[in-house]
Amino acid sequence: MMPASRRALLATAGLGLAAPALATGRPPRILMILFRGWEEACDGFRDYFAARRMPVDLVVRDVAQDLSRVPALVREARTMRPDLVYLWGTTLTMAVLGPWDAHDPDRHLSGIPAVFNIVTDPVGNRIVRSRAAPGRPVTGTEYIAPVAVQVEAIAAYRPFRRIAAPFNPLEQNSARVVEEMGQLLAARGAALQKLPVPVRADGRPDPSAIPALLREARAGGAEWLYIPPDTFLNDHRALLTQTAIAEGLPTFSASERFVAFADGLAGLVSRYTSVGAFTAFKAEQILTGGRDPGSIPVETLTRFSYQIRMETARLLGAYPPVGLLRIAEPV
Amino acid sequence: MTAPVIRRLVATLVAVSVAMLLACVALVSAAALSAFEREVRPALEQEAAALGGVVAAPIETAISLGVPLDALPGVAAYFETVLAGRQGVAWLVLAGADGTPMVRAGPRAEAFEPAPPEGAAARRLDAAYDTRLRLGPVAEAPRAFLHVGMSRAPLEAAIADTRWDVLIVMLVGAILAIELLRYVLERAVTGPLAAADRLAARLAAGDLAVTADDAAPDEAGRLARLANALARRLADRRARLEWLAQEVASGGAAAARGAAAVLARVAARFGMGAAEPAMPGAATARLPLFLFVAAEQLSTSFIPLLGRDLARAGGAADPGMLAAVAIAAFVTAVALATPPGGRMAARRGPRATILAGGVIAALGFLGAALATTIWGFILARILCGVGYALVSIACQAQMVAVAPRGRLAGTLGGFTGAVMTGAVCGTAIGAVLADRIGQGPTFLVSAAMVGLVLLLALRGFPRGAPATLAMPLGLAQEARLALRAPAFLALLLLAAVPAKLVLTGFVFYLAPIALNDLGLSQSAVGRYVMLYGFCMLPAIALGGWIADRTRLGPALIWGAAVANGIALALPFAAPLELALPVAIAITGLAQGLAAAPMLAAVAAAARPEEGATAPVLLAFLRLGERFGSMLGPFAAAALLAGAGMGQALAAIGVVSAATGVVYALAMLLRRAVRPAIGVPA
Amino acid sequence: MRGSSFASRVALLLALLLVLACALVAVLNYLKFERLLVAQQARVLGIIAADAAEGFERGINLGVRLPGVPGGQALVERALASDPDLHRALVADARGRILFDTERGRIGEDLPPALAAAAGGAATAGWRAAPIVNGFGQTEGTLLLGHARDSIRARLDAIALGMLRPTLLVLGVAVPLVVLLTFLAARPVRRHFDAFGQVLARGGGGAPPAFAALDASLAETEALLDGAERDLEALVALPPGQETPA
Repeated sequence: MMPASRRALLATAGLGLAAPALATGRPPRILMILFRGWEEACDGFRDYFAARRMPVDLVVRDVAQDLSRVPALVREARTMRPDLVYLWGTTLTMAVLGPWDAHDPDRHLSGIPAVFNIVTDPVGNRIVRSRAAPGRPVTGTEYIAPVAVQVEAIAAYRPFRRIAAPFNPLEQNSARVVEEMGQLLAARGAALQKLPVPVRADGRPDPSAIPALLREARAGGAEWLYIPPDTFLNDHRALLTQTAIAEGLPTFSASERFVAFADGLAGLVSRYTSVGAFTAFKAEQILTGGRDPGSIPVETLTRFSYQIRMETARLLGAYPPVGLLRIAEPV
Repeated sequence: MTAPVIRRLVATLVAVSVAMLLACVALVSAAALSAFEREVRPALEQEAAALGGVVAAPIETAISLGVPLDALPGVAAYFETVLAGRQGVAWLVLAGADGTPMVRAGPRAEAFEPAPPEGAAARRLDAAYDTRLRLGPVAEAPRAFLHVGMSRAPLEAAIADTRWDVLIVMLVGAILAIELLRYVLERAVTGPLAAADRLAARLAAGDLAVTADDAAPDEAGRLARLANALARRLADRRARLEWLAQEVASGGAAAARGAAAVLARVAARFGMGAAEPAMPGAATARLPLFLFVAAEQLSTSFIPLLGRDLARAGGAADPGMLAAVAIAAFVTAVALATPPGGRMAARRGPRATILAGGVIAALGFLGAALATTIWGFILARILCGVGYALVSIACQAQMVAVAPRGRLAGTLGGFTGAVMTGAVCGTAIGAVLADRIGQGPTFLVSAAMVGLVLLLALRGFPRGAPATLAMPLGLAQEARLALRAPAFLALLLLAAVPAKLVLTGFVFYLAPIALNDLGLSQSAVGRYVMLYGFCMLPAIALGGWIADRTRLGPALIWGAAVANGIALALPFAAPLELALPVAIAITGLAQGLAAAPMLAAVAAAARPEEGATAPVLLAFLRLGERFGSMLGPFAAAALLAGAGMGQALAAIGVVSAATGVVYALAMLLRRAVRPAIGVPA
Repeated sequence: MRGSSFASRVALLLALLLVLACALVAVLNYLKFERLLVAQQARVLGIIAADAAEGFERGINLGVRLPGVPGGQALVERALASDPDLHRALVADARGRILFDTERGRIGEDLPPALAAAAGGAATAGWRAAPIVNGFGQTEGTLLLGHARDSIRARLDAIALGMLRPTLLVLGVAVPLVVLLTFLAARPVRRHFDAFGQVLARGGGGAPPAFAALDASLAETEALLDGAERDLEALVALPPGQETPA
């Protein structure tokens, strides 16, 4: 696995060599601001243009998880005046663009169209006004499947009346997703058992409380354990998923980390490369289609990857229905 | 005098030909269907294998992932998803390694019979062809089996449809056989025998100037030659007598007086009559008429559909109305071309008229076949209408000219019969043709048939104008005369015109569209539209019988109209697919029953003393009917666009029933009023 | 009865009618069967095409672009193998460049115009297209299956043969039979013609009842002529001066 920076270098070099000199004008220039280096989503973004044989000039900057570098990059962008700015990740996007209704022209990027990639809840995080109408020349993609789609995916595997959802109460994204799920379940006549992870004295959630939470879930009669996109839970995914198996609880998540890289049962995930390609599709509409980013809705993929871990299924005795095996990705 | 022998001949030949025709067609069709079944089975099994491969994939995945078969959830639901929206699959069955069915799904799942694993992979069961696929790793014994049952129901539906078409071919073939036999026997047997009879009678009466046409190589020709030989012999003997008389006369005045007396005795018997030219019989005109009407009616069941499609392709705003224009244009052309056609037949003779009409109609059919826009199509239909008017006038004139004295009504009945049977045959077989070869090529077949008609006319129609034809009156004159007969006006406006309105508006416009929109095949649409003519034919005879023998004639006229109206309300009571054919059949019955009484009523309404003779009124009646025919499609199209099919049908039905009731009231009023004003009943 | 007869004309007509009717039924059935078989083949191709396209879509779902779908070549090869009527299977991208093809030499070329039209959705004879749609609804490419009608034609030929033999057999029996029956039915009428002819030929012998009146009438005429001839001959033979014979 080569270092992100070298991949980024190769990416730009490769594209630069591949791009033929256009008789009319130069290829569009895209400033890519990354949060934690070049990864598959950026691969998907770049490869889209290569597959469409559309030459682009990619300029890559990586903040390497240090948000203090953002203002300097914003100034650089103002000077460079690229045709488009690409932003990776929720935190970075919020830092660079600011809220849509409290935009500070000095600190935040303005006047240049932007697309964001791998972002959760752009509306709740006030990056855009609404998915259908961003309210500013910014658009992008969400990589988490809509909660309603996730609920349908769970039901497609096995119908339920009660779901338990552990989450880190300190993570707003996570809490919001769980809240939304609760509403959707209530509308279906099902129940959601919320299980916030207890917070220790030092203000951090307590991983040792996880087994007790799961026992509580089982005692409460939960038929599924739903794992929201939650960094804390991700960090302790091995413990979480293995305990769930021990308690006989099928787990469902919206991130492939819990299924492919832990022992979760199922998940409806977006491939980062596909999301990156989708973002590039929106970028193409802006660059060659001449559309205003504010007129392009923020969307998720229409088709997700349904991942099922067959070993967990065997251990739990919860095999997926045949119809699901047609589209599912056994892991 | 020779009738019984000929009648027996005709009956025998008709029986033989129809029986052989039915037998041959039935056998050939049966062979075709069994050949098809043999060949279609492997095709269905291939489809089953393809489908089975796709359906089995996730089950194979499950097996390879180690899921135990009996713990595999959702198989039934999965099968249901696959089957939803897919026609022709009778069942999907998952069976274990020993062959016992574990999961069944599909409309005929209960008919599945389990099979042992060693049995054949493809079986023919009652309900379906069953194909079996093995599931599991290739190198091992099969872990499970997937059975795909391909239903024979769609196949059987297609075969049933084909059987109907074969029945139509049988029907049309039988009718065609009868018409052709009638034609050939008339020309080869009946006609020559009657001519020889007349000729021999004249010879016996002393008219030696007659000759017979002896060109034919068969019995008729030989007979004619014998007759001519006899005539020559008699003439020779007469000539010899005259020579002898001269010889005698040279012997002196007294001898001359004696010879003259002898000659006078002979001359009393032998006169010089006018030669009677050989006249073809009425059948000469009947077969061409039958073929021509059939050619025209080939397209009846799909003209509104074709018109609608052409109009849509041209981007018209109201395709339904333009399709109605196509029908109305034809009827209008017929109406407008009929008076000049009659004049042409009177002046130049039927032969010239039918040739002209045939050429124009053929051009019209070619144009219809090649039309790419609705306006081109309408123009072609106008040509067809002009041709139709000319041809039918020519045939009618020819039949009238050769009709034996006093049998004019019967001859005209033959004319109507030929038109109706031609219509029935044409509609039915045309629909089948259009189903197989397309609508455009069907018009080409019409054109070819018109070519045949032209050949028959060239051969059979005599040149020149017969003396018996009267010059038809002008339109205005006819109208003025017709208006002098109020009973006739009532009949025209309240019975004849609404009837034609129903015919063209419902049977020719709405019904094909409604049936097509129900999803019926073109052949089926044609079969149903044909029901009109099919039911009308016997009803005409029945109506004539009733009118002759009872006093119910007038009641039939308005009764039929009311019944017609009620029939059109059926779609509200029953599903359209059942109600429409019944309504078409009832329309045919009703209009058939009313046909003869209507003609009788026209004859009764005539006021010859004022010039409104029966023929004049009849001609005006036809004109009025054409007007109703022209109005029908427009009214129907407007109703359809405005209110929808059900309401359109009901509105036309209301018109029919209402005018019938008003006519009945008018007749009632007239009967009540008549004694009061002293008009003779 | 000698010479040609109207019966031969009638027999010829009826025979032609039988042949025409049988031919018409055979042709109508054949055309219907052809349509059914073509529709059936279309269904099978639809199943194969949809399945193969779905295979590619599953590959795209893994996160690669269409050209990089693992086992793409194997997918088209497998699609080709699933039906004997298929002669080529290929996948082209949205720009019309061939990515996978059972005719390997064509990989990398652009689609010819006819195939490009088929990929665009136009109904093209001999080709079946299925779009390959990625995760956000964009058509990344098209799967094209080239099919021949060989098996259909073989089946139709078998059906035609299966129809031909019985038809010829039926006609072989029916046509002579109808000719025979026609001549048999015509015999009384031919005798009638003959009798009529005999009367006209004044051949003597009794006339059948149908012609008795005509015969008598003609005999009357002949008798008149005979009488007149006798009288005149007698007058000729008279010596001059005598008016009436002795």
